[in-house]
Amino acid sequence: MATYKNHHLRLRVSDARDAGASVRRLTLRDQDNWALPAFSPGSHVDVLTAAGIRQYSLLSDARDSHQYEIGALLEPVGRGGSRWIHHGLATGDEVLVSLPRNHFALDLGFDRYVLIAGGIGVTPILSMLPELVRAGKHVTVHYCVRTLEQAVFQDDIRQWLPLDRVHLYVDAGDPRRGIQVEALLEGQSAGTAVYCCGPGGLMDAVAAATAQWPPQRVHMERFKGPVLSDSTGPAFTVHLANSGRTIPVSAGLSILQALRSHDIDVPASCEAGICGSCRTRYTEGVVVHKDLILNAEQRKSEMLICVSRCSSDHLTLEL
Amino acid sequence: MTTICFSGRVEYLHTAPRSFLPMRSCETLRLIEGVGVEGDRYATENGFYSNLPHPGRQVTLFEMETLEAIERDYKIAFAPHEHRRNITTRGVALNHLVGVHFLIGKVLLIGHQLSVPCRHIEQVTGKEVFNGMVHRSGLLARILSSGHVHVGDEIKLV
Repeated sequence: MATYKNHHLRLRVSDARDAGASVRRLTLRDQDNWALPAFSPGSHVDVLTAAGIRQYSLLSDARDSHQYEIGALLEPVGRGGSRWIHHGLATGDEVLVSLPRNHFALDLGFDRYVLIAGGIGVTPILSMLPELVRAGKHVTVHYCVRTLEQAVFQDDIRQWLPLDRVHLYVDAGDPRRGIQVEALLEGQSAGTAVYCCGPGGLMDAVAAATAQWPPQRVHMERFKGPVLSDSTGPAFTVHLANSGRTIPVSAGLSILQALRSHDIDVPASCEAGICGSCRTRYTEGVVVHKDLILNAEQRKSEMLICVSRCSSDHLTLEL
Repeated sequence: MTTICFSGRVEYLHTAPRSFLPMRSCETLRLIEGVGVEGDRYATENGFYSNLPHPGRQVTLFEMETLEAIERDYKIAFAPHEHRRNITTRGVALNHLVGVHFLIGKVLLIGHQLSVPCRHIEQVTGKEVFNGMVHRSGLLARILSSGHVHVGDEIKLV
């Protein structure tokens, strides 16, 4: 995909260190130490790695407006994103990242918080601790790892909580030695919220134990693949009459995004159907117009490919 | 012929060196003839839209009155650092200044084109302000003489 540098935050690796147990911890700052866009606890960013886009939770204190910290677990048989972070990045390098987004937002409306983390899933939990402690909440952390060496974020947790509020489980892969979720969550008061991030088995156990709880008291973030954009609609293919190319447009992409992903550069500006920069003639296809500027006559032969789609299987554009 | 008459001034000045970074408030900006705002992302090809060169996007202006209208009409508090234009004005109907020469302090400008809203603003601010900015999204202007502009400077026709 043609990546335009200014369509991302361009940050510098100001510190890169091996935290142990195949976890690399990066601190990212602006090159002039300008303030960064604000984020809320539980947020993540997309990082453009050489192997594609990967999501990493921000583990730093959201009150620190000048840096983002992430922790990346090396996955030797993964798709290559973590290998690039571990072996392809050094202090001083530039990294392109997205604005922070939050699908695991912290609700401060409870008195007590049980934070459950498995392995590298502890990273979003870390960003929640400062906020909860400053708000005077009662917080306990249950942090499960396979080996003691993998508990690389212990110090970050203990910086914010006394020892008796931090429970470390070293399970060596044996669930009986891990967090006994059902017992832990049984009898919790109505003023208690649970936040959990970790491997599927742990999340499933928390989901089962809280099945009868009101949903606002249970928050979970699963490890998952790239997040698609919000645009929706059935998939179709675009035929480009002038170049002869055929490009698939998946359900989650606009035509403009699909063309860009195939290195086809089309002028665009607002990307919301109002400026007309991407106005394009079409000759075949049933177009679903979503722009705000074309009249009925214009729509017979033209469309704004940043927002409009096609309800037929094929669309032919004069590109 | 309609006569344009107003009494306006600069309320806020903002700049940012790269796309997405928060706009920083300042008391003074240096405008460079034919280029842009010193240190600003669009003077150094570091803006979100710098891949779309635009002769009229040397300096950008936005009305304080629009921020107040968006709060009144849409109940969205939209601050001067959030619209991402360089100069926030009061008392100037910016939509009337396309093709018009005007002074900010001692710096000569010409209105080039009306700005249009973009989803980028919503992405950066997390606020649904796109609709509120339609037809009142500010002005793109060219800089015809270099110089400093200051908060409080008078804005007047030549």
